Amino acid sequence: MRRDSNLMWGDLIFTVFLLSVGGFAYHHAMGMTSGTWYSPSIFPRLSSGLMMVLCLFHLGRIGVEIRAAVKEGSLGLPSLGVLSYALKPSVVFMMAAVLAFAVALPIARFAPSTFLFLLVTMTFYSGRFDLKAMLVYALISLGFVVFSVLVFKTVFKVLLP
Amino acid sequence: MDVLSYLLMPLLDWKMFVLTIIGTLAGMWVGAIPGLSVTMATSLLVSFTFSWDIYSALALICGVFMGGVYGGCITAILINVPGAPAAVATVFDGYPLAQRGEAGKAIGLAVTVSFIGGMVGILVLVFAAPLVARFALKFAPRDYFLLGAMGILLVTSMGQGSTLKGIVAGTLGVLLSMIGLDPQTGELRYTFGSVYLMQGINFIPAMIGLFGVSEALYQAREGMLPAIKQRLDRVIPDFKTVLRHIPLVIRSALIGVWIGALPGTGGDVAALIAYDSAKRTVKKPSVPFGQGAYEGVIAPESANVGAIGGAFIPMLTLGIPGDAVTAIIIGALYIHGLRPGPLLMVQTPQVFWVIVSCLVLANVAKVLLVLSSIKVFIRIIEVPRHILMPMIVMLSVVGTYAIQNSLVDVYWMLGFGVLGYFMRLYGYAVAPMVLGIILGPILEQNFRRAMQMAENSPMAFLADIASNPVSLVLAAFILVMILSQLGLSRLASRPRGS
Repeated sequence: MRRDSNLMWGDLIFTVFLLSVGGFAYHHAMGMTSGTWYSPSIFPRLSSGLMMVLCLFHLGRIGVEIRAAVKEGSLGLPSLGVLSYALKPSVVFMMAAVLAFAVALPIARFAPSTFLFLLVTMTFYSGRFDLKAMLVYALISLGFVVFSVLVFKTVFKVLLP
Repeated sequence: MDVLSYLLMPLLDWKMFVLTIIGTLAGMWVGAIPGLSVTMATSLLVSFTFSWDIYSALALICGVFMGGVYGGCITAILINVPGAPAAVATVFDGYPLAQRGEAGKAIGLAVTVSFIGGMVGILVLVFAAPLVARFALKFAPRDYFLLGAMGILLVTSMGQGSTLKGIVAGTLGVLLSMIGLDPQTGELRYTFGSVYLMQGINFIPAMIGLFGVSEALYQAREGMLPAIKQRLDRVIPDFKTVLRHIPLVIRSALIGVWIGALPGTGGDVAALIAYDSAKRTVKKPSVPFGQGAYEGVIAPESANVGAIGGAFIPMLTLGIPGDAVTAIIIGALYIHGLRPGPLLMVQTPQVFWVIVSCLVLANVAKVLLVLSSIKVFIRIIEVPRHILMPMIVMLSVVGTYAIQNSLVDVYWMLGFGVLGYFMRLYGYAVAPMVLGIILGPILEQNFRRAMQMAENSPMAFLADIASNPVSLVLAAFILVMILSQLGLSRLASRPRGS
């Protein structure tokens, strides 16, 4: 069965990204001390070289797959759909929420930022935005924050932000 | 006498005792929830327990490992969804048993054979590990390089995606492990003038990001499915059924030990192989396989837990992880200043014996917990995903921050989480990357030492391998394992019921 075209183009783009990482690593390895088989550059060169070869091989495989799909007429050109397929609003929301949580931690301290993060994400992913549901999630979040503070401070002896 | 005192330590020390029990319960809970993995839980625990003494940390981690491998079968039997990869083969006959109204019996049978399989695995660990360690003391750097290469090449079995993508992920992990100061020459590599990169990438944020955050992002994408409510009948299994299947249990557990001991392979592959073996060898199953045969639950559940004992053998004796969880335990031992390998068994044998006794205690606790309180337990696993996932993410952030009270680590962790999300989306398994980060330094340092000993000549290096029986066997083993791995991958991706 042929893969979704957004997945296929996405795979191609991601493999090109990995190929670039390999190329970048190889390029930098060229500037490291070399000359012997035990110099610091040898392993970075070997591993980045292997990574590039494997990525190129995989690109070849995707190329064959794309060619077959084009022949069948089942594949369109890459579009913004590739991006929206990979980064659905629910994923972007989680990424943004985690980032905001990490930034807020040292500013707003542990308890308030964790409470807000839990409340917002639980409400968003439940899909229920009525007052009753929010109240329930607020209670769950509060309970979990209290529980976490107790566990982290007494059991794990972790310094909370 | 010393061995006995270390073996009894988790029983005599109330803190270790309680931690092992809590770990087992937590592991069963994590293992029973599809999407939450034992690997994720262990990586989080390493970040929270690094300030503890090593024995308490090991007690909790061993409990989670033992409980988690079993926990996966609960949802496999009840709702046809394996909670953990190790329970993938249990679905084939476990769910038909539940449909016949024998869910409780299947869960009880699974935990009983899992206990026996676990004990077989631990016994093999006790007898085999000292022998392997004594033998490994004779290993030269080239042998460690070959062992590391074997681990890297076999990590592809951890994911069920393409072999090629698994190797790419492993290679990327090896590359990332080279960031920072070269330990042999002090040269800075891939630091780009940043002081944050000079010490290299911290292993724990990478692990938490790749396993924890990426999973949460992936679940967010797939939609947070609601929990399914279940009912359960009697769980204590029929003694005669257990007794009749003892040979199958032992055979499957030994398969599990063998597969688990191979670097890179874990309980999932062991369970599939044992299921396949049972299907071929059991002439008269209770009902045909795939329709609710007891043998179809017994074989995979004995094998996946047997693989735990197996996975500890290369980890403790050679410093090569048998699977993703033992890879993380290696990280935990490093944090506590211990270096897994043959010298660990010589210099700090107490660590080995404490691990053994914690595994035994967790194995016993697992049976008692399931048989006594499964009906309460399945209520706990019904927590909706939209409540659970934000909690996991929050624990990931706090756990990463706690390592060195640094937000930079948190940003690294988030970066790895996003990378892990894209890797999962496009079929790249994340476990090989984590193993690559761990095995990278072992591979590189031993390769360079071996080349120095071979006086910078690749031909002399190859001649050394060819002339040394241990190296030759390892090299041949790598070749054979690659070839057989292709067969295992096909088996792992075989559709249900085929």
